Amino acid sequence: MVKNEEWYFDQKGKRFDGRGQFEQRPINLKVGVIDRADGSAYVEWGQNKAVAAVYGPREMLPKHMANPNKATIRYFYRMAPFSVPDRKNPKPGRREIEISKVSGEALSRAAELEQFPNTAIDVFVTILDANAGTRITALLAASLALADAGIPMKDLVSGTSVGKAGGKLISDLSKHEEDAPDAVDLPIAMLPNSDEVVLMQMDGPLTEKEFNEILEVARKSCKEIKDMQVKVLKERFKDDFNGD
Amino acid sequence: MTKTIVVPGELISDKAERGSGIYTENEKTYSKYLGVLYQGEDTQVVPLNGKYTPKEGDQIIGMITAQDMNGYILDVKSYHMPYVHKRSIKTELKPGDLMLCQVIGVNEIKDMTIDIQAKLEDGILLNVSAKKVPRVIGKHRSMITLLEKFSGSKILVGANGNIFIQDGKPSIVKNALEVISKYSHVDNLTDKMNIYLQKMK
Repeated sequence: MVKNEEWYFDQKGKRFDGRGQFEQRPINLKVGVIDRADGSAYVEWGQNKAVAAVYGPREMLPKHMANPNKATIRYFYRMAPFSVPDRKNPKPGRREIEISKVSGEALSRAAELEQFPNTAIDVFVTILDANAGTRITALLAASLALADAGIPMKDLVSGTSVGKAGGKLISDLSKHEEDAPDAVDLPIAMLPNSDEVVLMQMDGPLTEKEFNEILEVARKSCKEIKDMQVKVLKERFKDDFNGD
Repeated sequence: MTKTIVVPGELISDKAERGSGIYTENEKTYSKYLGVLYQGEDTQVVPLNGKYTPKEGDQIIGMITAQDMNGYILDVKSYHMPYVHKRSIKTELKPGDLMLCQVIGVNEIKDMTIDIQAKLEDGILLNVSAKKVPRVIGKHRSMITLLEKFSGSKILVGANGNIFIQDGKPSIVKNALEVISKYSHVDNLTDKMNIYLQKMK
């Protein structure tokens, strides 16, 4: 990978890292990685790495923050200082607080919180390595961890980031593409069963036609990613036990 | 009766069904939990993990975590922490003490009132997920009997997943509990544990 190169597609239409136009980076999922958490998951998406841990439903402290009608999801998206080329100040900044808010709201749509009034569900996600698209990587991990913790959910949250670079619509942007002069980044998370969009942010302009086209691409890859999530959740209970 | 593993949002049936751990939308039935689906006379999904849901009459084991002027706060691995008044207990307790308690009331937000029955001493505390307690006990306590036979310990299982062990070799029980938790979805677990424990000997 050569930095500061000003091209995004080669003559064959491949992207600078050899991917096709709507090809995702390889995704690797793992569930149950932290023993002492109620539920946990680890997600590798290309170079991105995220660990999520869920604690709860447990007593909400301070008590005046508790909602007497349902549980509150407290989502903590944090980047490790070593996750980016220049050291990241570990103090949560504007970006992290915003991502925590929108991702927590996305999970709240999926989880059935009315069953646990006055409680808090804490979700801690740490980004260990970052290369564009970390909020979706984090959300995938959090969704798996929530299912692993045995919290009732309508559906798993799955997502992807789509956008535009070098004049063409693409899916799953990497850092190099995100820095393109005409780049548009559109992270999107859905509940694949109902096609309900639970998270969508956009930076950069898209025409209405482009937007509808890329939304369809995103919907398709969300379903693919959900299949991977389902597979990894079931895999743990596959092996039979015969006394050894 | 068939058993399959389902995940949240997985389609169970194309028609609306009644049961627990499921929800219906647009005349279709979906799972709510990561759990085991039982399809017999009625459909139910039993979650594989989760906290203790209090039920009146249950015997549970709790640890005292804090104390104030009037009473104690206990950790029972549930959604809320029950409070016990000092005047209902004769002896003085301190944080870290293990107590055998009974749930005497549960309200609509799953908050419970408990009654302290005894203080548990000279033993160790292990725990499993509350949803796996039926497997640790086994049919007619068969699994506990098996574990007691192999370890020589006295085992007290709380409905909330806290397990108190006295005497014998607690390390055998600890090891066995880890295996039971990992393979809680397997059929005939007691027989298989018997083979496993014999091999470990």
